[in-house]
Amino acid sequence: MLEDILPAKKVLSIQSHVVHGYVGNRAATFPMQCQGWDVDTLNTVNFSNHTGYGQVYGAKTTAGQLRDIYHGLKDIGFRYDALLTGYIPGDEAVQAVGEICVDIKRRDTECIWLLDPVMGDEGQLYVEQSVIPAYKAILRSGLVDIITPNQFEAELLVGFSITDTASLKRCLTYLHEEYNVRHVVISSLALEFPDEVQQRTTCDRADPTSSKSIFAVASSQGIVTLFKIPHIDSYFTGVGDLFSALLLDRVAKHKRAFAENVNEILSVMLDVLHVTNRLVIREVGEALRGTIGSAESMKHCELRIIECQQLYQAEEKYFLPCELK
Amino acid sequence: MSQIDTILTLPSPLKILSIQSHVTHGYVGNKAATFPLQFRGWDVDALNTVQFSNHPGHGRFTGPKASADDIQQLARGLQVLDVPYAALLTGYVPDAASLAAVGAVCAALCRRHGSVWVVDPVLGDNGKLYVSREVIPVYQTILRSGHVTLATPNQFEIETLVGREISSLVHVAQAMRLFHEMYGVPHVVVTSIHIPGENLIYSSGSSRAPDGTITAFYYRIPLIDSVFSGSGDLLLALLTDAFYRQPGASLAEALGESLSVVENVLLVSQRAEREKLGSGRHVKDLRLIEARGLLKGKCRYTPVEFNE
Repeated sequence: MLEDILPAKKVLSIQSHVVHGYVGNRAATFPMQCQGWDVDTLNTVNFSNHTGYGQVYGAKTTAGQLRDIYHGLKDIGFRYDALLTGYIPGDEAVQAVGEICVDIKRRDTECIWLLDPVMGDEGQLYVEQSVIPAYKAILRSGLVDIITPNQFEAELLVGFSITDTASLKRCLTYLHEEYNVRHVVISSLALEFPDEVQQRTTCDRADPTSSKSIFAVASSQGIVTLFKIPHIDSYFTGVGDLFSALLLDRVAKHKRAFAENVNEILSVMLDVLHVTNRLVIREVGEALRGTIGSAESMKHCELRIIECQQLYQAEEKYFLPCELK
Repeated sequence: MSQIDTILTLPSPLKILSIQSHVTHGYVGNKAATFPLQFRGWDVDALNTVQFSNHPGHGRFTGPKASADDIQQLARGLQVLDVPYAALLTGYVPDAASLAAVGAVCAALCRRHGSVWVVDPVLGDNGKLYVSREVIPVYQTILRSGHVTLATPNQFEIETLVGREISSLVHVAQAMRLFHEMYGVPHVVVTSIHIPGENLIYSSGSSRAPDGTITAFYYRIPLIDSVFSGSGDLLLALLTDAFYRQPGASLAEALGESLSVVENVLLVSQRAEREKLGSGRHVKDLRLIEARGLLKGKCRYTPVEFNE
């Protein structure tokens, strides 16, 4: 019984905490624990629920408190295999998290840092303007290993829009060279690609009757890989947080092409979203889009993180991606 | 059937609200309770009453307590959300005003949704209070509210709450009987009772039926030669799960199963600590993740009924 137990890998995850629902640390922690990680959670906010509900109660953790907690951790001694940083509300706290992670990386270069520069989506900023330069300053440390921005966030980090294949490639080059980031994933790219690219990029789970899709791109070691993601008609918060957590798990455990890890986790995400959608329908009798500001609808549109417990370890790959030359 | 089809046929997870401390590193309070409950299929909402770097068993820690105002705010948020919790679990709350706010929101949830409320009346241990004295009457009010289904004081806490010292097994049975009488709580569990001169520990429980019949029992547990932090919080979470899932079954079965699982986790943790430090005398961090495969164990102890 006691013989075949392996020591857990250790991650420090710095993200939001909500009492109810699954975003930030709440979306990342349980899946990583199921994958055998000891997750140390430093919570950047302590809220009743995510902001989409309209009313939010609770407090932010100040930059001073974040530093203070880190000093406590240092005092008792730690060694982390990985760092995961997500939503941080405000430039001072972003700066504090930057200092903490840079300090950890300088002590242990083997530690893998995944940074999700959470700033906004679809043209809308949901942090203060001053957070943008704070993230750029962290990235200039050159110590971040993986970033997972969405299209809007990637554009903010490079300072120009992504409108076609050429500007996408320029953006990726900038992120690799200016910030020394090894692996980049841009999730949810709303771009038109040439037909010959589109046709070579398929997914086993795509609905043949639907032509709608978005793209994700993975870039690592000079190879840019494009994935066509079937459109799922729903609105869930926390999807990016779960994606980043599971991607970090795979990168820390496997020495294989980065795109393979991305393929595996995009596949897990499709299953998680499928299960969540089906369970929403079972619960309320119809497919539901969470309406921003409506707590009643948002309550039903939380990711089913607990129900999906068995899916996080899956190894299937549903995507046939294509290399973007 | 595919894995997804299997998931879609399962009943929805039960919802529980756990109000306890949070530490960044290690497993006490909500960090000890949340994962085992989730692993056993509960949808756990977690209200954190403090955010410390680590638990005080390390000798030092940093980080803020949530102020009474913060906790009242979060309690207000929970009132707005109005989640139909099957169970509520409350542990360490740092001060009387916060505890009163927690008590009010839990009582309201019990009234609306008939939630089972498990209260660990955290006051102190080994003869020492580690909350302010004003917290005691607030717990007494909560316990008398008629909403608490199960209370899990330790030896020091039940002594404080019933005003009697315990130095023999007969005293334990008397204290639990008195606890039912004073507070009207139908189920009480007192774990880790040390009787002077005995080289094992006792874990006891007592249920009072609506007709007043009392069924009290105890387990004899072999002493593991180490000090553990968080084992009580883990037991509380497992007991809440076992007790809720088998409402027809006895408190004795629920406690026996939970004690067996805790023992497994402690043995894994002790061995890992020895490998790491060469000594396993004080196991500061439970190895909950390493031991996760053992979290769904079966009972290996036999209860003994109290014969008064």
